[in-house]
Amino acid sequence: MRWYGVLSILASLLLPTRAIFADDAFHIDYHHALLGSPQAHATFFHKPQTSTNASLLYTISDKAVLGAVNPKDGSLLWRQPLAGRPVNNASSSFLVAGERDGQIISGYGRTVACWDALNGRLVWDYTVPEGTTIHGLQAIPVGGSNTNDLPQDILVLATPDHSNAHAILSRIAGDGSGTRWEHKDSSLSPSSSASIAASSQHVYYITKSHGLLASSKAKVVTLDGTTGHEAGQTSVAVDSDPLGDGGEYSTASCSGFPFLISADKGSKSVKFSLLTNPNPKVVGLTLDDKGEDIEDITVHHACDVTAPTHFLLHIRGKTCQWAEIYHVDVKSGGATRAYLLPATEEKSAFAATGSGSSVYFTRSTESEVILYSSESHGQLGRWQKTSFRATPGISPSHTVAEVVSKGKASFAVRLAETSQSGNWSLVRNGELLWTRPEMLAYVNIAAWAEDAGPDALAEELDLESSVNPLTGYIHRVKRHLTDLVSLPSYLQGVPETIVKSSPESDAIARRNLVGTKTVILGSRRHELIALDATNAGVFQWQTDLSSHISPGAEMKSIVVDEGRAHVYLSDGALIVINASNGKVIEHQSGHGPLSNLVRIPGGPAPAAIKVEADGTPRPAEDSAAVHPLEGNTVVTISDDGKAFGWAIGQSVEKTWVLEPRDGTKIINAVARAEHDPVASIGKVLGDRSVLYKYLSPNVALLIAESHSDLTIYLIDAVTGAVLHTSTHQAIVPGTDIPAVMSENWYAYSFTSRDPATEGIATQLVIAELYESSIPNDRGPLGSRTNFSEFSVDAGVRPHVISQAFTIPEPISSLAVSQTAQGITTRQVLATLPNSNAIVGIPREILDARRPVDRDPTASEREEGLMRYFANLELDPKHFLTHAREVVGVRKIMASPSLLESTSVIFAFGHDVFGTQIAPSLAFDVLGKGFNKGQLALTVVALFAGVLALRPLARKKTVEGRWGQ
Amino acid sequence: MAMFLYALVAVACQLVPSVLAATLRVQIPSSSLLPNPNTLPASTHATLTSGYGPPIKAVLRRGNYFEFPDVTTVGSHLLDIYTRDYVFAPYRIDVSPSPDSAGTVITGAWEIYRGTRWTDRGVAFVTAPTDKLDLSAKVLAKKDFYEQRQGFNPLTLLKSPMILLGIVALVFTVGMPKLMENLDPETRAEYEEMQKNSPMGGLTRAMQGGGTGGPAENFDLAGFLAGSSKSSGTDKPSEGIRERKR
Repeated sequence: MRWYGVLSILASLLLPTRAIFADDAFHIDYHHALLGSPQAHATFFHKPQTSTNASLLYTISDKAVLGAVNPKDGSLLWRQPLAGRPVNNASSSFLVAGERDGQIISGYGRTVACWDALNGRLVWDYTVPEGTTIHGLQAIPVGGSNTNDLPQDILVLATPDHSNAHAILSRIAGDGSGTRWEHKDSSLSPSSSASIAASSQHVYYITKSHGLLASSKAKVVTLDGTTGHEAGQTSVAVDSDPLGDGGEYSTASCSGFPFLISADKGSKSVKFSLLTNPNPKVVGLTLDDKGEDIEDITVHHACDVTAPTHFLLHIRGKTCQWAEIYHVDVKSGGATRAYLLPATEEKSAFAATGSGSSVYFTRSTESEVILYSSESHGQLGRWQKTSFRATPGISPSHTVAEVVSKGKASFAVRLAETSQSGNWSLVRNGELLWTRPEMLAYVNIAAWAEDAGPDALAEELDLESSVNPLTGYIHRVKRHLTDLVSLPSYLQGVPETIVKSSPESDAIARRNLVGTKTVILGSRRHELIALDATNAGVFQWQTDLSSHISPGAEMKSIVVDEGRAHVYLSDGALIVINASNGKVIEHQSGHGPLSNLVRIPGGPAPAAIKVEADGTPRPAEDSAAVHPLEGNTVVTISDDGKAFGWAIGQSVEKTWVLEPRDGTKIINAVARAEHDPVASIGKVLGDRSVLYKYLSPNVALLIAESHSDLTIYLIDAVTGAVLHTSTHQAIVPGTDIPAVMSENWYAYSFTSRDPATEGIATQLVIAELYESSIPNDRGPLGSRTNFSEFSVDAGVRPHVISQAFTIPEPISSLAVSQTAQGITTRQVLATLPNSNAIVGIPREILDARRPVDRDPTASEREEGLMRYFANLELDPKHFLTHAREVVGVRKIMASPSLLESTSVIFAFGHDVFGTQIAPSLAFDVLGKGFNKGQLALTVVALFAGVLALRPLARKKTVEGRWGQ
Repeated sequence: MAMFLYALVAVACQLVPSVLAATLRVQIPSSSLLPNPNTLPASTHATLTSGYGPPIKAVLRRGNYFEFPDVTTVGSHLLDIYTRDYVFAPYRIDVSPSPDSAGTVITGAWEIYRGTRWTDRGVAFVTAPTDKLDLSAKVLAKKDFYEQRQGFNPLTLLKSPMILLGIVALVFTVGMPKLMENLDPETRAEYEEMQKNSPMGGLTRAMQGGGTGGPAENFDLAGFLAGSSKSSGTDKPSEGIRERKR
C-alpha cells in the first residue's frame, strides 16, 4: 500500500518541472515578515546570552506575535504567534525577560510560556485555571546576591472573567517545575482592576474596585515573596487615572522600588506612594504646567534593580510636551523633582535605560535624539536625525533605548522607535539603520491599480490615428526625426549594456517587459498604502484616512478606476483618492450602511453596486452617470443562510431564492473572476477529437454547511437552477472550506473525518464542466445560434467530471493564476497555513480526467494525463514561497502582466508576499538561462571559422579550375 | 511551615496527572536526513486533529520535542508535524476513555500513509493502553525548493549530433589532403587508382570538394544510391583529362 505514495511522487517527477530557479528565488519575489505594531510595555533590548554582549530586540505586537529582531539589520530571527496565529484585537499580553538566564517569558490569554531567547524554542509553559485571564506578569527580582544560574521566578496574576472564578496570584518557578505558592482572592469582581508589583523581599497585590460605590482607595496586600504568606494589608489613596505601565496603578516593579502613581484627568498634580515602605504614604507631586492643559502623563523608569531610584514623567500638553525627572528617597518614601526637561512643540518619546549604576533618559523627537543622565539636566549627547523620509506620521509614538557608554563623555544610543504611521525603525546615534513596515500586518483589503501614468508613445499613436492620414504621416515623420536625436547616445550606450549586465539592469529589463503593477492596500488602522507589486514591494505612498473615517466604520472595498481609488466604507461613505500619490480628492458622506460592494459591467464604465446591510443590492450613488448593462445578475447570501438572485439593469429585481435543506446554511459564494479569459472553447483529446467546455459567465458556486456536512451547489445565477450538487460528510469543525472557480472548472478543499473508519484527511476536489460527455458533441446546444436561460429546453446541465485527492495538509485559501489571454495553463494557488507557504498546483496534476485504476492509454498519455492516485503530494518545488515562511495569509491575488506567460501574485493577511509566476514556463521572454556571452562567442567562432576556411576553399576552387 | 507547604504542593502536583487526560510526547531524533534537530526553526510545530474540533497545535520545545499535555478528545486523531525544510510522516493516534478514571488513554499509535485506507498502517507503537506516550517522529524527506538552471557546458555542446557531424566533416576536409600529401607517391597512386574505380571514392571526393565546382560535381550520387555500379558517360573523359594534365 505504501507504494502508492512513491508512485505518485514518481508521476509528478515526470512532469515538466515548474520550480523556482535557484537564481530567481529571492529576486523575483519579496516578503515582509511582520510582527504587527510593537506594544510599548512589551518591547525591550535584551542580551540572550550571558557570554556575549550583543543584544536582540524583543517585542509582543498587538497582534499577539512574539518576535526577536536583530537590531543590526532589522531581520526577524524568530517569531511565535501566541494565539496560534496572528489575531486582530488581541487581548493584553505581557513580556518579561529573565536576568542572565537566556529566557523570555510571555503571558497571553491563559498561558504563561517561557521561550529560549536565542532560538525561540518553548522551554516550559504554565496554564492558569479556567475562567481566568493573565493580567500581570513580573519577574521576581533576585537581588544582587543571587549569582547562581537558576532562572528567575515569575509572578503571575490571573484575574477572573466571570464572578464564579477567583483571582489567583502565583509564583512560578523559573525552571518550569510549577508553582511555588498561590494566593487566592475570591473577593475580586471581574469589573475591578488588579495589579501586581514585586520587590526582592515582598510581593504587592493591589486591587481597586470600580463603579458607583468605589472608594478612592486602593487595597494593597503585601505578601512574603518566598512563602506567599500575607505580611500586611493597607489602603492607599489613589486618583482615578492610573499612570503605570499598561494603565495600571503600580509601576516600576522590575526596578526594586515599585510605587503607585495616579492622577485625576486634567489635574496638575500626581499622587505617588512608594510600596516598599511598610506604611505607604501618599505624596502629591505638583507638576510644572507651563500654562498648558495637561492631556496625558506617562511614567518611564529603568528596569534594573541596581539602578538609582529615579523616574521620569512625560507630560503631554495641548501644544507642547516636556518631562520632569524625580528622585525617590527609598527611606522616607518621598519623591523630589530633580530637574525639568524643556517643553518642545515637536512630539517627543522618552525611554529610560538602566546601565550599571546609572540611569539614562533618552528623548526622541521628529528631528533629534538627546541623551540625559538621570542625575542632572546636562545633555550627554545630542544627535540630529538623518536619512529620515520627510513624510507625516514619522513622529515616534513610543521608543526603547539601549545606551552604551564608551569612555568618559562618549555615548552611543540605539533607539527602536514605533512611529505613528506604523513603521518600526532603529535609530543609531540619530542615523536611521532600518525600518520595518509593521502597518502592513493590518491590511484587510486590496485592489490592483493599473499603470497610473499614460504612456507618451501611446498617446502620440492615438493622435496619429485620429487625425487625417496626411497630417498623421507628417506627425509620424517628425516624431521619427526627433527620435533620431537620441540615436547617438543610444548607440553609445549599447556596448555598455551588453558588457555590463548587472543583475540590477536585468531586473529593470524584466520590469519593463512585465509592466508595472501597483497594489493599493487598505488596513484596519484606516490607512491606505500603495506598493509596487512588480518591483520588490517598494513603498509608493501611504495615506492616513482616520480623519475621514467616522468611528466604528471600516473600509469595505477599494475600486481603482482611471487613476482614482474609490474607497467604500461600511457606513456607506465614499472617499476618492488619487491612485498615484494618495492625496484625498473628495469625501462623500454615507447613505446607509453597506455590507459589500460588487462591480458589474455598465456603460460607459463599470458600475458599482452596493449590497446593503439587509442584502439588497443598489447602484452606488457616485456612479449615477453610469448605467449598468441589462442582464447583470448578482447573488447575495443572507445571514440565515439563504441565497438570493438579483437581476440588475435599469432597476433591481429579485429573481430567485435558494433555500437549502433545514439546518444547512449557505456560508460562501464563489464566482468566476471579472477577468477570466478563455483561450480555447474545447479540450483537444489525444485522438484529435474535442470535448467542449461548458463556459458560462453566469455560473456560481454556493458552499453550504450544516453542523458537520458540506454541500456544494453549482448554480446558474440567472435562473437559480442547481446544475450540480455534491455533499461531503463529517467535516472537521473549525477548518476552512476554501473554493475557487475559473474557466470551466472549480476546486474546493475541506478536512473531514471518515464516519466509518474515523480516518482524518484533507481533500482537494477538482470538478470540470463539459457540454457533453461525448467528444465532438456540443449536446443539445450544438445547433443553436442563440439561447435563453428561460426557454423551455434550457435545463441543459453540464457534464461534470470530478476527482478528489488527499493532500498532506489543510488549505486556508484558494486562488487561480491569471494571464492576459488565458493561453498559459492555470495554476491553482493554495495557502498552506501549517507550512506557512503558498503552493502553486499545476492544473495538469489537478486534472479531473486522470484515468482511475488503469494506466493511461497512448492517446491519454499524449494529452498529458497521468494515472490517478488518491494521494496528491504537494511538491516543495511548487512552493511559490520556497524557503520563506509566510504567516497568516488570508488572500492571494493574481493579475495578468504584459507578458502572456507571466502572472503577478500578491498575498496579504499578516505577512505580505509577492512574486511572479510562469505556469507554462517563460515562453515569451528570455530568462536568466540566456547567456549573452555565449551567443556572442558563437557568432565570433562562426565568423572565425568562415575566415579560416575561406583561403582553403579558394585554393580548392582555383585548383579545380586549373584542373579542368 | 514553608517545607510543609512545598510538600503540599508536591502532593497536589502528583495527584493532578492521574485525573488528567492522556499525554502525547513526540520526539524528533537525529537521523541521517536530519543530523541536528537543533537547527529546526522556531516555527516548527505539530497539529493533532481530532475530527470533532479544531486541531490542537504544539510548538517545538527545547530538547526537540512536542508535547500535547492534555488530550481530552476521544477517537482517532491525525498527528502531523510541519517544519520549513523537512517532511515528516503522519501518525494516527487513537484515544479512548480511560476504563478506571475520568481521563483518557492512548490505545493505539501508528504511522499512516496518505491516500490509503485508515486501517492500512505501519507498526504499532502502543501495545497496551497508556496515558503517556513517547513517540519518535520520522523524517521522510528534505524539501528541495529549487531548480538548478542548466548552465553553459561545453561538453554537452560537443555531445550534440549536429556538432559531431560538423567535426567529422571538418576532419575530412582538413585532414584528408594532409594525409594524402604525406603518403609516399606509390601508395598515393595506388590509392587514387582505387578511388577512381570505387564509387565510394566519388562520395569521399564529394565530401572533400565541398561542391565548389571540383570533379565531385560530376559524381552521380543518385546513380550511386540507386545501385548502378557504372558511372555515367561524361564522368570518364573528364577524369581522364584531369589525370593527363597532372
